Amino acid sequence: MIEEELSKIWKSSPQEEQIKFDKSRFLLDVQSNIDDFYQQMKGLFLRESLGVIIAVPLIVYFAFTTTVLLTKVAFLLLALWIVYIMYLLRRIKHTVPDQFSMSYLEYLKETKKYLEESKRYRETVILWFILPPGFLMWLGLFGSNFTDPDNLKPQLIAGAIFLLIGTIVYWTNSRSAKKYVGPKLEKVNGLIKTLEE
Amino acid sequence: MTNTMKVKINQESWREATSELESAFLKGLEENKQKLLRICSTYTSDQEEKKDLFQEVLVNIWKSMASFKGNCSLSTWMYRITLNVCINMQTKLTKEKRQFRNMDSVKMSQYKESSSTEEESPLLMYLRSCIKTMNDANKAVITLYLEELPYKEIAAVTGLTENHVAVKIKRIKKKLLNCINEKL
Repeated sequence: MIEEELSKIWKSSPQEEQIKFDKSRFLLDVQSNIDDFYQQMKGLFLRESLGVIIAVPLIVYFAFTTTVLLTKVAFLLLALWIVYIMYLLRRIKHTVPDQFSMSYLEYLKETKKYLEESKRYRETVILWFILPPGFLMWLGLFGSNFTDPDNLKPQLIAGAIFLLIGTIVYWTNSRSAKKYVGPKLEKVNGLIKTLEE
Repeated sequence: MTNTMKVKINQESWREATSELESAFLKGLEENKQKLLRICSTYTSDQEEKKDLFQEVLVNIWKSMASFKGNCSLSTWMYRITLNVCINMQTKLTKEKRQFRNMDSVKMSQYKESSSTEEESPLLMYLRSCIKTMNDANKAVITLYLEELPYKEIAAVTGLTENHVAVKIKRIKKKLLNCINEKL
C-alpha cells in the first residue's frame, strides 16, 4: 500500500454518519446546556460564599465574646484560616486550563500543571486542611476549659467529631489522588512525551 | 440619551453580535462537521459515546465562539477544541455516561445510498483499527494529516513546529502502514 492512499481510504468512509441539524433547536439545546453549567457554577459559588459568610462572623463573634485570651486568639486564627482556604480553592479553580485558546501541546502541559498541583494538595490535605482547624479548635476549647477544668466533655466530643471528619476527608482525598488524579497525570505525561519525541 | 434608549441599543447590538456568532458558528460547522466527527470517531468505538463526544465538542465550540479572536482560521481553531475536548472527555464519558443527553436536535444516521450499495472497505476498517491502537498524541497528529491539513496548520493545532510535525508524521505513517500490512 502506498502512503497517498491513506487519506483517500480515511475519507472514503461509506458508513460515515450523516449529521442532521435542526439549527434553531440545536442552538437552543446548546444554550440550555450552557445555562445548566453556569447555573451549577453559580450554585457552587453561592454555597462556598454562604459558608464563609456564616462561619467567619460566627467564629469572630465567639472570639470577641469570650474572655479567655487563648480562645480569642485561636478563634481569630480559625477565621483567618477559613478565609485562606477560600482563597486557596479559588486559586486552584483558576488554574483549570482553558481548552479554547491553547494548542494541543500547550493544553496538555497546562493540564499537567493543574493535575500536579491538584495531586499535591490532595496528598497534603492533612497539613493544610485537617491539622490547622483541628489544632485551633482544640486550642480554643482548651482555653475555654480554664474556667471549668473538670469538664472535659466538650473537648472529648469535639475531638471525636473532628477525628471522624478528618479521617473521612483524608481518606477521600488520598483515594482520589491515587485513583483518579495519578492515572490521569500519568497519561498526560505519556502524551506529552510522545508528542515531543 | 435616556436609560431606556441605552438599554434598547445595547439589546440590539447584543442581538446583532449573537446572530453574527450564530451564523459564523453554523457556517464553520457546516464546512467542518464531517472532519470533526471523523476525528471524534478515533477516540471511541461506542456509537453512543461518539455522539456524546461530538455533542460535547459542539457545545464547547459554541461556548467559546465569542472568544475566537481570529488569530488562526476558524477550522484550525475548531480542530484545536475538538482535540482538547476529546482528550478531556474520554474518561469523563465512560465515568459519567449520559450527561449531555438532551440534544435531540442533533441526529446522526448512516448514509443510506452509500451504505446500501457498498460495504465498508476492509482497508478502511484496518486503518481505523490501527489508528485506535495508537496513543492519543499520535492519533491527534495522524487524523489531522489524514484530513489533509497542511503541516503549518497541524503545527498550529498541536503546538509543535512544522519540522517536528513532518518528522512525527513520517514515523506514524510508517507504523500505520506496517500495522495495516500485517492485517492484509
